[in-house]
Amino acid sequence: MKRKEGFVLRKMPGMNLVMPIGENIKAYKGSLILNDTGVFIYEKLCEGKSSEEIAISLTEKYDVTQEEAMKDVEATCADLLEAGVVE
Amino acid sequence: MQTISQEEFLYALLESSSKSEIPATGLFELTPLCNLDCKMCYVHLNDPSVKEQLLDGKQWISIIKEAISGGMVSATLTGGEALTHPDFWAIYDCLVQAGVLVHVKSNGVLLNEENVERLKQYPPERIDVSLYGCDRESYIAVTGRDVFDIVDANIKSVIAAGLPLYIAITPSKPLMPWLERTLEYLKDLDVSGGVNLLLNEPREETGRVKSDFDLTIDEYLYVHQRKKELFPKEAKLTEGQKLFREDMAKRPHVSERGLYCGAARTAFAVCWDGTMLPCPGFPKEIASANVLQGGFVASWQKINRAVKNYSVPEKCHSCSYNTRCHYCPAQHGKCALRHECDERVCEFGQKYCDWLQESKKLR
Repeated sequence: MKRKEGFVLRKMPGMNLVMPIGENIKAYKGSLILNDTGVFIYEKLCEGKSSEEIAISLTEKYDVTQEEAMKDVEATCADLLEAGVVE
Repeated sequence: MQTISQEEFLYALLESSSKSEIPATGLFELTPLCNLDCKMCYVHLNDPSVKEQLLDGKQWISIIKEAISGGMVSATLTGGEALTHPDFWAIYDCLVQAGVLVHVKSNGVLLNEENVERLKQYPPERIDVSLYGCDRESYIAVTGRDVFDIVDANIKSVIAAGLPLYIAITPSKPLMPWLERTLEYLKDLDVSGGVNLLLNEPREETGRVKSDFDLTIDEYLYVHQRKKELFPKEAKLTEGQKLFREDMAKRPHVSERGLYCGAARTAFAVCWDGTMLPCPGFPKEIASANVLQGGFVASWQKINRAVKNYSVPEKCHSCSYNTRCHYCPAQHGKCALRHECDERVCEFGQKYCDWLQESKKLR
């Protein structure tokens, strides 16, 4: 899974968003709100990391088991895919 | 995972940024030059040598990038006539590619087929067109240029292109003979539109004086009354606007220090020469900074501090209108330097509040 072109991550006070840019503004009328874990996973996807690599990074950053981390990554990736911001 | 419309997002962000002093919305006055010569313009300069002093695209983009890093999410490009700036499109593209919601303010003359196509490709959040009349004669009287037919055709092509459009009428003495027909023209267009509340005092360097083209208080009220009669239906509030109104309602109406509005708290303006102000009409003696010399962050902090420390006139604290009329240094002009009220602005504010209250009762 990788980041789709035409979106930008904006971190703002109290809100993190993946926003459409350029031609995508027409197709995507809104932006996707991400929590801190969502931002972490999205940024790793942008770096080209695999789900497994992201799960390992999550265990290093947060107090979670690898199994829990993998579940988080899979759920978040499914949401990102549904929202159309990754492919 | 939740999605949010651009507008809901902007207003939600304004709410949070007002607490954390983030420069969320910026206005960039790209040029004081214009292809029209409106009698009442508070910005327009006629000196052609100004062209040599304009900030170029690289300078604007550098300021804009700093603003984005500082938290800016919404930007207005204006002038003069913004579309006459030679690097307008580079600046516009920079904003759109960074996910900033862009408003373009224009007099409509350059919203030609080519530029509309370009805007269709990367649509702005909104195009604001200033309307100065209803026919060739009124345009010549108000703007000094015979451009009504061009503006009329361009407005219609923006509508046909499905681009989000707002049309604003600026009330002024020269427009008055054509006011009714101009309002009717706006009504026939069947787009979102309105009438600006009051005229700004022109900047000193323009050589213009507000009293030469200003309306009397009764004339202003008449204009707003006619607007209300012709457009009786209040525009339905969007979710974002509802959020914003709820947030405004929570703010204290008068404080020991600071202003009610978002100027230099969530919003800023950068003038054509790099001067940062809380809003474009704000008296620079109260709060201003030079972005080119101090950089964006230091300039923002400077105007933010100045506005937070500004004390509104004593009389506002006990004024019976102070929950409906909020002190605005831009409207009170030179009086604001002495922390005093311009009595004429107060009289207008009070009459306007009374009129609003009456018109709500009649609904």
